[in-house]
Amino acid sequence: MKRGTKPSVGKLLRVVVAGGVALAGAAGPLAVRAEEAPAKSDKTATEKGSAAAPADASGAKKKAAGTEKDKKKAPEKKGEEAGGVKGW
Amino acid sequence: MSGSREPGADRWRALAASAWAFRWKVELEAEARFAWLAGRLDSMAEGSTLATLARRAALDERRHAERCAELAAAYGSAVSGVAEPLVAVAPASLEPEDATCYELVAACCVAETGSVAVLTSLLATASAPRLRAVLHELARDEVDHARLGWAALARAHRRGSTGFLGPLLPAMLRGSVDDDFFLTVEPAREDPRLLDAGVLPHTARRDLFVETLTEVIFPGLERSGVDTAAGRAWLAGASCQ
Repeated sequence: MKRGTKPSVGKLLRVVVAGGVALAGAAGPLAVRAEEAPAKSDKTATEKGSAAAPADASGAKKKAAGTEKDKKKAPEKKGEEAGGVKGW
Repeated sequence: MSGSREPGADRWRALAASAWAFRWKVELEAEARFAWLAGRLDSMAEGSTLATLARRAALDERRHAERCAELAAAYGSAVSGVAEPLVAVAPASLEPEDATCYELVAACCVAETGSVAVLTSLLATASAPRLRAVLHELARDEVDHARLGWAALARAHRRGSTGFLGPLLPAMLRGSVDDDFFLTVEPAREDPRLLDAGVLPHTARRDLFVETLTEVIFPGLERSGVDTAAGRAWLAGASCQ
């Protein structure tokens, strides 16, 4: 791991947690989403960040209907044992 | 994406392909889980905002799976097909609202928050334009997915119903990592060149997981009334292997 990498990861993650807690309150999800912009040096993501929120706002319900239709399938039960979800 | 005449290049490429193929599977599973959770959140009081986020997350994950498949193919592993049947990770004994909370904590507060950490670390070293673009796209979305879990947990805390999570943390955390996660692995999996393919070497990934748990996830859980003593004890024991 490069020296200097860790603080930025920790800082970002603490913002993630705080943002989630704020989201649980009165803040709207799209406002919270826009607040945490990606690194501004990345052109692709910056462009996406500035353009995506309004489109998401208007299209959320339409997209949601399609997703639910395709995927609203209850998971198979694993049993009494608690488990975890693997990430990256 | 890399010269195949370097020493160990074939193994390096195979590991990179395997990692991206695994991520493809993880993303497909996440798509199914978020879509299912959206339906569960719809049925809960004050759940509609979170349900909207979960639906959007499901769509994000489908796109992420395509990106991962693309990179797996670039390193020599073609992936295709559909996700395996979704498996609930919450114990069947939990009440529906608690079970939904458990699923969201496992998927978002642990897995997605951990993924943000991995992606952010990878972005610090990745230089290939296409890889950077994919990592950045995914990182931006995963931030939102992680927040969904932290928001759900905060709401559960307001209802005074997060205490049940504490004793379940060891199983939740154990299930979030591979069996060899805390073990010494073959040298090829520690090859720093893996970073060029968007893959953290094994020890770096483990160290980041421990750091993320200790500095972010455990404090975040505690803030929402979850006793992390059992989870911390599990981590201490697992780290001593």
